[in-house]
Amino acid sequence: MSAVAVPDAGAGLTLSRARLRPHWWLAGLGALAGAFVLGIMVGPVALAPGAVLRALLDLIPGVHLASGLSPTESAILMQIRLPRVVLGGLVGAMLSISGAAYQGAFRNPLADPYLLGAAAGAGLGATLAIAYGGASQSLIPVAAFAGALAAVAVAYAVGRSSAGRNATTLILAGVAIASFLTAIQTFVQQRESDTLRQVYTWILGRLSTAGWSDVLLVLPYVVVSSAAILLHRRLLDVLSVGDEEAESLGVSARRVRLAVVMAASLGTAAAVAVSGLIGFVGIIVPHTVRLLAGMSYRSILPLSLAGGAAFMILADLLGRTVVAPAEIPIGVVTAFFGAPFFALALRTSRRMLS
Amino acid sequence: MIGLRDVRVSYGDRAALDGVTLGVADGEWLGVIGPNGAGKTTLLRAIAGLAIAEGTIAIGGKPAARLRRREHARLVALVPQRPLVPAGMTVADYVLTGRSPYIGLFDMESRSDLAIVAGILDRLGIAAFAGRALGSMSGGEQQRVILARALAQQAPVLLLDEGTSALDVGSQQEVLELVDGLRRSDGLTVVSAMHDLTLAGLYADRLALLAGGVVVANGSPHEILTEQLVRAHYRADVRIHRAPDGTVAVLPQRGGTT
Repeated sequence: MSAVAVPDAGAGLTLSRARLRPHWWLAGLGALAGAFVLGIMVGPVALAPGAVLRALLDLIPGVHLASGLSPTESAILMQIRLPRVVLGGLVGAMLSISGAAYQGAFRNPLADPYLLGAAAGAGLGATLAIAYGGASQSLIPVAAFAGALAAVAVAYAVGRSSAGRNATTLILAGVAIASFLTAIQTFVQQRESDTLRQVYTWILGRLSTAGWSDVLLVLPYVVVSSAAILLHRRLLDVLSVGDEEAESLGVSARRVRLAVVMAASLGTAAAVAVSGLIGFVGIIVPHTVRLLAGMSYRSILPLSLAGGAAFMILADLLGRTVVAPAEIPIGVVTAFFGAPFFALALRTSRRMLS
Repeated sequence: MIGLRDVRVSYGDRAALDGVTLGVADGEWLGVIGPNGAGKTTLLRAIAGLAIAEGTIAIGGKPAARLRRREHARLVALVPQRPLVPAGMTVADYVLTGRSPYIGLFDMESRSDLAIVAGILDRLGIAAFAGRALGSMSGGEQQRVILARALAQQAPVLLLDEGTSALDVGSQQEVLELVDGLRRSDGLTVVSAMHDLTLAGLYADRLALLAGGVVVANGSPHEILTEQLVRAHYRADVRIHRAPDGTVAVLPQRGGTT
């Protein structure tokens, strides 16, 4: 959003370029910090806030503090809650910024991180690993990651080689690839029906088994993909005036789209590999951000990153507390709580505009 | 400023431009007229470097084929026929995209970019709209904003693709007067594709009549706006009225086409 200073008489006007305003910076970081605190403090075992704070400070290299937590409490914090919150935050951040990136690259508000078949590819990969991979659980994320990337690559190749070469052909290619892969997945499931339950659980998404190894697996992808997408924030603004016009302004729309889609797909594949298919985050968070902070990708992208992390941590918190000791799958929670919230945001924004 | 020699552009089997040779002098306003499908838009797209063209196109003496996309965008600015208007984008943000040819790929707009855009908004009388969303503006206001974006490119060549066709007569004139003023003050070279022949004759120094992808006539408005030429190529019944002050009015007539 641009701030426009009211000019002195005859002095001309002063413009400022689109950017993330300080109060939105604070709001994004505040939401993230709040979600983080709730995420590690709420659970079946109550932990003393002071002790948790000391335990966290103790993690900083060079700081040595005795937290006062019992070994069990310490394990709950360090091995269960903290990795789960961090992983949820990373996955939420990645899915949200990828959604925003796809929406910008395709100028399509309905684009989500799974648009080009990443979900179907990951689903097939995981299904194959579960059905034929033997007992090895560690194969599932690798197979999901490979499946997601392969699906997007094929969709891109098919969409590119067609005559149209525009955003719509790419989306259509994605839809075709997704249907094809889903058909194979259904076939495999039918043949190996004893795997149904495990595949179904995986598809609904989960953070319950989160450990530090998952965090380490996904972290580099989140960092690299997010950085690459953020670098394109101004170019995504230019892309919003249209492909041909971007070209006439000296910006290659095709190259920007390729780079952004590659980064977003890579990050999405990594996120899907560790958490399963968590829907709706990539649409609801960027759109809420748009309604609040404006249409420039310079605010949409960073706020989606922070908002997506916060949203996912809170959704996971609800999922594991509402019917405790049982858990609601995270994918169900994001849609169940996300949709009404989104409807509310839509209504308020309409009132604000009119 | 612009030189085209034997330029051909095809869409599939159909030749949209079928050997166009044309020159535009520095500071000249060339009006490109012709019936629908004659190739007016394709001609402008070719000059803007957006169409794959055979033959040679030179801009400012440089062969366009050897210009990089960004260099091209610094020489030629295009006001397209039906631009995509992102409704939620602010006027200032939209016009700032016109600075893209000068901004490093991953850089942001500099102070001077902002100052240039502020000056252009001021000049076009839309400074007060800077913070408003494009979707909330009227067609005439939007047209000024789109022109402002093209001017932000600070290119010596300005291409207008029937940019005024959807506007009422007053807004059309406003935009054309603005362009004419800029041409006189900044020495812009203007090529405009126009449907309204009277307006074309009023503003352009020279008219090129396109039909079927070739230039069938090229000369002063007086030479080109004749009953025979208009009847032959537009299949329209018109009467040409030449006012004592030199303006040429093209008046449609009833009586059926011949």
